[in-house]
Amino acid sequence: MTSEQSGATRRHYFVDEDADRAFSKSLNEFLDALNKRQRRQFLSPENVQRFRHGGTWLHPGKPEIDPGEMQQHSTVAETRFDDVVNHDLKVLPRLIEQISRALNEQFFRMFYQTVSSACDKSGNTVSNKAAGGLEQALLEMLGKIEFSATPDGKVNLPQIHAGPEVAEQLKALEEHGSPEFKAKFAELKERKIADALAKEEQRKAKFVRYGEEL
Amino acid sequence: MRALLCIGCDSYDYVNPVAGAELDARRMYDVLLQPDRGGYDTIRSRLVLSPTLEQVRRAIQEVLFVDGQKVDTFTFFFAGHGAVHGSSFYMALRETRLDALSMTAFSLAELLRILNDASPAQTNIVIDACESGGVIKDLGTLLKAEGLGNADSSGLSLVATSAMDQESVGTVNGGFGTNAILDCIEGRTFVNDRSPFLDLVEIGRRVSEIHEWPDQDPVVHGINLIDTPRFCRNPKFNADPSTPFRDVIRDWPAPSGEISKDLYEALWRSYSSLNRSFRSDRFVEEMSVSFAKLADEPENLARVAARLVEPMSQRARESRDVFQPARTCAGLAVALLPFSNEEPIQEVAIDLSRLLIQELIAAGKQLVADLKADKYALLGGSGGPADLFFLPIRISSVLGWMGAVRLAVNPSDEICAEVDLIIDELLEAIEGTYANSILAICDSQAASWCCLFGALLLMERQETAERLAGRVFHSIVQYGGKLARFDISSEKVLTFLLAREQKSYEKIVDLIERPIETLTVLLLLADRLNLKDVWDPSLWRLDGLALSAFLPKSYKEYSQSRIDDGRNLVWTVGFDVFTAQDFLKAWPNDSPVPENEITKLLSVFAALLFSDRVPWFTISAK
Repeated sequence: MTSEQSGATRRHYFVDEDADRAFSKSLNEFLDALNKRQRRQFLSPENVQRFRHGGTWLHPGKPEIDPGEMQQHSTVAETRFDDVVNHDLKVLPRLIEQISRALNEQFFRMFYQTVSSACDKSGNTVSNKAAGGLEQALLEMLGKIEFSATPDGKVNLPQIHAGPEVAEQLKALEEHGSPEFKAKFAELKERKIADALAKEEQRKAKFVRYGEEL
Repeated sequence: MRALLCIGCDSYDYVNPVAGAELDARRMYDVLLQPDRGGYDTIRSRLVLSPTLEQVRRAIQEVLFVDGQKVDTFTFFFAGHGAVHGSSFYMALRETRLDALSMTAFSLAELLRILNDASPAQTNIVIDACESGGVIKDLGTLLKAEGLGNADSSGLSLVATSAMDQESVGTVNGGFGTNAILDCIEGRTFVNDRSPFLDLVEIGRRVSEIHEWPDQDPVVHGINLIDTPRFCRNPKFNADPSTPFRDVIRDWPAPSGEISKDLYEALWRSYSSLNRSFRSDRFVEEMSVSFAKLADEPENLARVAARLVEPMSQRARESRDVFQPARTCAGLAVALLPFSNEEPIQEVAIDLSRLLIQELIAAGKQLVADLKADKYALLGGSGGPADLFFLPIRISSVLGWMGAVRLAVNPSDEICAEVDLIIDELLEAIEGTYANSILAICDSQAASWCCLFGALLLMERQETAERLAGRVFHSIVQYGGKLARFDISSEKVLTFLLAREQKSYEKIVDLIERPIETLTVLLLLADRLNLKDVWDPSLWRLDGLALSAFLPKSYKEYSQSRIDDGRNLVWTVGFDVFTAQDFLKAWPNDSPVPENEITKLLSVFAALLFSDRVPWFTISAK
């Protein structure tokens, strides 16, 4: 605080503290909605869970899954008194962008670290160099991935997340890849789809019944 | 024995008449004889109007000197002419001659000698007469009296309505001084609301503060005031219903001798909310913070908590909600949970629990009676569409709280049968009218279901438990496990209901609880309710639904608004749960249990108050 009065003992002049709090609340809700929209690119909201207490969770039905732990994401954003006093409305988009970007960065870093750790642990990693090139690496990667299917028979194809350079290479491969590569890729993909559907049937069979009785 | 002598002298043989003195005496006499005002003895007390000296002496003898009946409080009232002469103050009577006051008037000195002989424990003297402040001349003698200050010595309070050198003014409607004193006695003028009796000195001071009489100033004396003064009853005692609560706050033990402003405001907030806008979780949080100030002083904390019960319960009874006194009691008890290792706190918690059980029994009985009189008694304010959401929650709440009572009482206790009857009657009434509202709609109901089914199993009402659990399970399946989040705001309820009606939830993802604890409660009971085989065929409909249970490290933490120590157990139907048995196999063997009976009892009620935690130990015994 640069003013002469400290925060706790500042005198007020027509200050409405309830209105101030309501504004903060609406700003938080706005930021929350924004972040959720951005996270939806990677994470279905149906897969987001919320805990009321504690900071860890585990799966007693699948003890092989490692326990999870909450991580805190935080950021600090500043608004200069002078900007407010000068009615600089750009304060708002700057503030929103700053907070949103910081929290999203932390989220995506956590997201990729989590996926990467899981892959490292399960051995689901492929080295471009060791595979002998991008075509082989891609085929090897596809071989290690399991597709998933929905109960109604729709197969979810995997998403590829790549940096700009690799993304360009992959795009080029898709257009100009060798016929052998394309054939192997297509055959592998079909096999994975069939595997996914079969696995889904096996999963559904674990229920006492699945679907309406005829 | 309280006795009164009122003298009013209008008529004089040798002096100008006075207007209103007899009226003053009569009014004072009538008021002070009323049991709820003065409570003076109607047989022993005397009213004499325009008397002679002889008549006054005889009246005093009849009041003060009756064999075997000692007066402990004596009040003497005089209105009429008065005068200071020599070293004494004189009250003029009918035959008084101003040139022979010592022989024809009644002196205060004589009154004091008589009182010295009769020695009532307390004497109150009110003189509404000119120059009545001159009584100081006689009081000086009294101060030198022997025995003054001893434990059994008499106390004297005196109000003279004018100073020694002033006149006492009035009209035909009475003297200003007497009217002002009567205003205090009858409650038209506020003196205090803290004590059941008013002291004449206090009345005199109050009259002195507020009077606007020109050239007339009351004079007040109090001598040797040993015992609690009881001039008259206090009409304003407890007029402010918050007085008992203010007394507790006033006596709150604080190192500085004064309660801090923040604590004062927090306590008032808690108290104020009890009869309106009550949030049970917030009440527990605020009381916990307040109690924490005395964490190092268990004796003081116990004393304060015990004193808070009555005023807070009283305030809660002003609420239209029949369960409010019980929730208040539960809130106070739960707020003591963190401190329940200390013996004084345990004693208070046990007392509170007993009271809580009584309150819940009373609430349950009232609900049963209301439902018999009006089958729609459980509907809310307008009974409109809002109850599509709130009614199912209300039903689970009343059943949950009654279930909690059953869990709390000792099976060998004779009130156990009474509680069972209330629950049976309640269920009969609710199933009769509200069967289709016995359903899961919000995950905040999980604790209530847990308490209800735990109680029904204890009561050996297997069939009832199966039937009700079946309804709740079916409702979960019917709506795909989409329950409102436990803390859904009221403004969002309509949106939730519309989506539920359409069974289309994409736009209200944030209003849906994920994972839910309600299904965990049901699956935990599936075996004991013999419903595994009934439910398993429907579980496919909940494919993908996540369910959870938060197990605290210690149930003593259940009074905290957020519990940090503990683990969240998560299952997903279609991933690690395909049958109820899959779930039951995975329920941990080391599920915690409360450390002692008090923690067990209070954590159940904490779960009902907060609605975001479940007392798993009531149903999880393998």
